[in-house]
Amino acid sequence: MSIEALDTIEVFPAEKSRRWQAVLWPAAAVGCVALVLLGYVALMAGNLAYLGLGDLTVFLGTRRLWVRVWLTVWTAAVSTLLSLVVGIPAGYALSRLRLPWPKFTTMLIDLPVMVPPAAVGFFLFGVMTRFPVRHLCELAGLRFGHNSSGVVLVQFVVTVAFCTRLMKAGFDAVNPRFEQVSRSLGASLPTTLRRVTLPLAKNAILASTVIVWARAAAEWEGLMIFVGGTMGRTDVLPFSVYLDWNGALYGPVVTYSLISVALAVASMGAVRLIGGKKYVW
Amino acid sequence: MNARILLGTALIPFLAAVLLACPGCGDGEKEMLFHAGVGQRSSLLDVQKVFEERHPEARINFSFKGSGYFIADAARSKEGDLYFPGEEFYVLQAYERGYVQKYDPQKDVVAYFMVVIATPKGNPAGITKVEDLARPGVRVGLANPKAAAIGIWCEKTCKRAGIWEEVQKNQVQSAKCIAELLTGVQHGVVDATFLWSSTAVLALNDIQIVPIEPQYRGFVKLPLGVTTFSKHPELARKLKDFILSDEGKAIFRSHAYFSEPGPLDAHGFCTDGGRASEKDVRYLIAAAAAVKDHSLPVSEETVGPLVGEVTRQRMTTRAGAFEVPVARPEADGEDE
Amino acid sequence: MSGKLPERSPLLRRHASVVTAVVYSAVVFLVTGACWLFASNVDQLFPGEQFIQSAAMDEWRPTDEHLHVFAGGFWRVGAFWRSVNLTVVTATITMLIAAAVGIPAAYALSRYKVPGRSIIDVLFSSVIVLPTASVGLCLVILMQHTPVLKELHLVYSLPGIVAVQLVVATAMGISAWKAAFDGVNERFEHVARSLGSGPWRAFRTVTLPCAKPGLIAGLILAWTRAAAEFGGVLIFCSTFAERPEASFSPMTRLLHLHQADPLAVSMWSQIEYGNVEYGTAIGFMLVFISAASVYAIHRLGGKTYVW
Repeated sequence: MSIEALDTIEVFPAEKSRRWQAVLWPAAAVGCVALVLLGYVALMAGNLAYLGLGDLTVFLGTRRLWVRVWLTVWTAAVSTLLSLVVGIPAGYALSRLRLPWPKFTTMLIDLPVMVPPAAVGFFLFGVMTRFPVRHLCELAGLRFGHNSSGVVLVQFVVTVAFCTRLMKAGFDAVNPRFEQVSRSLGASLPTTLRRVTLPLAKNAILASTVIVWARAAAEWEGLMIFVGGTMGRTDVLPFSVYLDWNGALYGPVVTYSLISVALAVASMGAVRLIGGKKYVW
Repeated sequence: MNARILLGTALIPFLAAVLLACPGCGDGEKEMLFHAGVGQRSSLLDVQKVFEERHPEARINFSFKGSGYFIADAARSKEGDLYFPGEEFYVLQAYERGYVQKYDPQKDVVAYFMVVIATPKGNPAGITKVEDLARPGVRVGLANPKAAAIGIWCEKTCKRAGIWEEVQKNQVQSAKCIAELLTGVQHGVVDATFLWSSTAVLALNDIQIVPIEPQYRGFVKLPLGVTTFSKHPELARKLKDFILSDEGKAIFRSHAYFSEPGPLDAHGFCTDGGRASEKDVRYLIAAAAAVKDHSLPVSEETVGPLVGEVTRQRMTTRAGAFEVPVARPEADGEDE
Repeated sequence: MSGKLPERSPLLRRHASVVTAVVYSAVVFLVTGACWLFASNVDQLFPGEQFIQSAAMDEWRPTDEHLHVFAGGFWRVGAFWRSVNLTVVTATITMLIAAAVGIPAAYALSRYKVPGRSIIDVLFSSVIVLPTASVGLCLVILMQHTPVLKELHLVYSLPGIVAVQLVVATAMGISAWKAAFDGVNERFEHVARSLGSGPWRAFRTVTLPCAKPGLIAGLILAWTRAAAEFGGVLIFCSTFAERPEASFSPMTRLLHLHQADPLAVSMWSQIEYGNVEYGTAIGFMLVFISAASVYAIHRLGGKTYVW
């Protein structure tokens, strides 16, 4: 073969078609992102278009709306606080300590997260109206029913297991060697927790708190079955969506939906900013 | 320092318990639970406003649901002070089981519903009379009579017109309460449905009202009862008296309830060819037109007691404007 | 420094055990709470006197008499098994659609520099904490007021259930699958690419097998979330159980999907009607399904939290 003929041999004959094929998969993947994004944006934009800015201004000016928004915000905050009280120690235990029957225990703790909240609300109603909880509440003078205590209770029950799982993830991200070093240098367990573990897990705990708050603020199915579909003191925002939809009042309903969307997006944005997903080092 | 930490960690549950306990303690307020059908929602919210103004210690919580669920709710929770389903049938049922106190069929009737046909805006299927619902291809929304009072009347009206089998073939929706029927019509999911006049009036921007011919026109008695397991019986009776008073009935009229249906037969259908209710039907149609067309005049002569409702609905494109003047007979046009 | 650790004083030792006690008691609280939540409702499976009496007086419900026995005799009620069938079928279809769209989307979000990636991330994760009523409602309005979508007649129809479940299941799935792909080291794919694979082949033969446990966990999560959807289905589709049999197509009747609601909706509906025993039985069935999902996810070593 002459040297000139060598130049004409195609070394990678399939290069052109392979380049086209190489773009196909990434394009499809990004296309899927665009599709899902389009779906969600259309969902929210369509509703805004349905309501119209004029109507939106009218409904945002009603006192009823802001009473309900405030109720949602403060009940979710209180139930998040209570969830933290249980969730942080429990998360630490799940992360660091060896529990008896670990498979069964973790499954039991995960269960309330996956069971539909409607079923949880129904079962909670059963718990609260039976021995011994009912008698204990009567003795203590506590009343959980058509009032904000009932709301906080339902939100707490639905979010506490979720909070525990998130805290476990947060503590899992802290290398136990740091704690072991601290203990070996003479610090007691409480001091180690206070000065080593918690500061390292701080971002994760803060981010998880916001997520738990957002979940509590969106809880209404359990509330509906627990309280029984009554309008009154328990009208948190998601529940009011159902109640006013029941009255065919689409203006307030879409407004409540838009505010819920805004709250959800704001919470997740805050989580992103806090950076809870990043590892410690 | 360790003691401080312990104190700090103990403080949180204590605070939480305090927070929980405070709202749970008795407030000195008398809270009443009012079981009402979904169709009565708009007028009852107005009633609540006026009543709570006059009796500051009273607080009314509403449980709006389909009328068929009242019995189960009463049996399960034994809670509730007033009982206001959308049809006399349910009150009689409750009285038989001893849930409701003695009910006087003459005096305890608050108002009457009128059954109308509702279609989406623009009436895409061209419904002008009851028989049109039997046309093949028309999507009809019906309610479950076990769940909502309107369900009973869907069946009754269709059976009287002799079209029940065909309408059942056209049925695409089985609603649990009347608001679901209204939703279906508002968004054009169904082509026609039956509604109470007072429910149809809630969304005049999105639907069109077609009155039923007088021989099939039904009027539904709305009785009000106090329950036997009421925790605040005197206050409940006061509320009942207020609703049955002239002022209360005027509130209901302003939401398109009928107070003079004229002579009815045993099943509740019109027997005088619609003469007694003709004026109110005219007001209803005029109101429906006036909300969509802002150039039409709105006054006592054109829309009768529905002035407040029409003014309110003109404020927004979508249903549901609140904080609006309550249309009282002597205080028309007064702003809040 | 000598090798001897300073001795812990009795005071400090007591405080260490206080902390351990607090931590253990939190776990005990959770575990007992979960047990008691489900156990205390077992007695609702047994019929109560007042329900039997009131059911006998009710002329609407002669057919419901048979429900006032232990657990509502749910194994005999055809509607119950049709509900289970409907829930499983719709959840599976939703899972498959969500996977078909979601896994590529999660891969793109994980690997490629999609413009606006953090905002998209925030948007997708916020769909998970949206109230289900808002989701159902927004979907109704979108479907009925968009000309093309209106013709699909999805509202108040059986395929509508899949549509509603899809909204949240996709978001949940994408979150889980993205975490799964994030856990696979990118270098493996780069090595495969450098050895001559195209992107699709590298994905198929390298990334997918490595991420498989996380992907399957995401599938199960999406399935469970779809099966647990209640509020959205209630608003978007209303109930199917009382519709006349003739309004369902023959194919639907063949598949035994007619006249049944998804399990969560069915539970609520039965409790509203007063069939508490039957409703509780459906509730326990839901718990059983969720427990099976949790067990499956744990066996795969996956996580049930998806942040």
